[in-house]
Amino acid sequence: MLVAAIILFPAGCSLEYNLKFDMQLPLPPVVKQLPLRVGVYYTPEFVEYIKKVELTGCGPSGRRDKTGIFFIFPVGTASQDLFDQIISSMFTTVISTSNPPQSLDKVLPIDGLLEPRIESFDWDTVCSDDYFSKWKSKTRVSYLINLYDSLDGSLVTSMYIEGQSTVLKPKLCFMFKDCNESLGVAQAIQDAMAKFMIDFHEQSEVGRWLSAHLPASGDRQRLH
Amino acid sequence: MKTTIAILSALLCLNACTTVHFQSESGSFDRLSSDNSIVLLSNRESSEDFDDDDVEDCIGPAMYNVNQELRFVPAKQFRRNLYPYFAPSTTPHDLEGYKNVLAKPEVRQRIDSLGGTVFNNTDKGRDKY
Repeated sequence: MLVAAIILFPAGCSLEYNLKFDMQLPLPPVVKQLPLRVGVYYTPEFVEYIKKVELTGCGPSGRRDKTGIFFIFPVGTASQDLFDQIISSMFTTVISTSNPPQSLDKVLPIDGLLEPRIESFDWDTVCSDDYFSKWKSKTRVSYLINLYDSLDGSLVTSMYIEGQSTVLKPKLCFMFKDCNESLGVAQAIQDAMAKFMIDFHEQSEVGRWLSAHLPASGDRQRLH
Repeated sequence: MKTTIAILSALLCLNACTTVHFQSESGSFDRLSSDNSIVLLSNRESSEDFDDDDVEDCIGPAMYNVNQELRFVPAKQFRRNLYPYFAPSTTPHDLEGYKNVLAKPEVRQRIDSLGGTVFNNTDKGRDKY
């Protein structure tokens, strides 16, 4: 890739990599499943969210060099892949809907509707200041995850979550191979979703929503 | 063969291998046997320039020198199998945090399903789950 950058950049050329991330978890997440039916609505903006970032190289003493190599990150589809997996392990039934929360179908047999939104995504290289400048890649992704009550369509809670990753020794990846780990994007998305899974149960608004929808008090006690 | 997982967390690492503060859920290393597997986890909240590999490189050889029967579980594998716990933002930062996570039935169940036992220093000796 470095060679490509040396050749391409002075020639005024650029190269674009459409990246793909494998978000498949090796095992289902470690979480107690709630006996609830939840709908999920992905906005078109969420699914189609991509970010194009130019790879910055590190020159001597922390100099940042443009490379003419652009990464196109499919943040939306990668986030959707993982969100589908985690909510399937959090709730017994998950129904995908194309109806936005404003037109929540009252006859849809659900207890609540989740609507994740991507707030921001940043990926960059950081160069150290020493002469033989070392580089690392940093990813930061944030989401707003809305939960609507099926009873009246009201917003139960809006959770802001952020995920980060730093790859200290990034390996160059060619043609999608090894890009999953070397760029740190999948890790940052996983980090944010991990925080969501754990923080979800700590929200007082979620607690009230659970109380209203969990089938029996016995089940409620077992789940807490 | 029974596998034992002892959780060790390197909490604060300043520069490579100069200062390492680590916290252990187990007793001393020489009391561990080949039945024990150990995972070394970095704490990215304390020092993001010191990752799991660095902790392994830094502490692993010294521990192995003390007890050559020790077996190490790669941090990456451990974190994957215990997801969403032990992600960078959800890794506990202190012993109390570790105790809370390890006390969760679903976490114990997953470790157990992976053939593990967790050392818990609130009990005397091994705490089999």
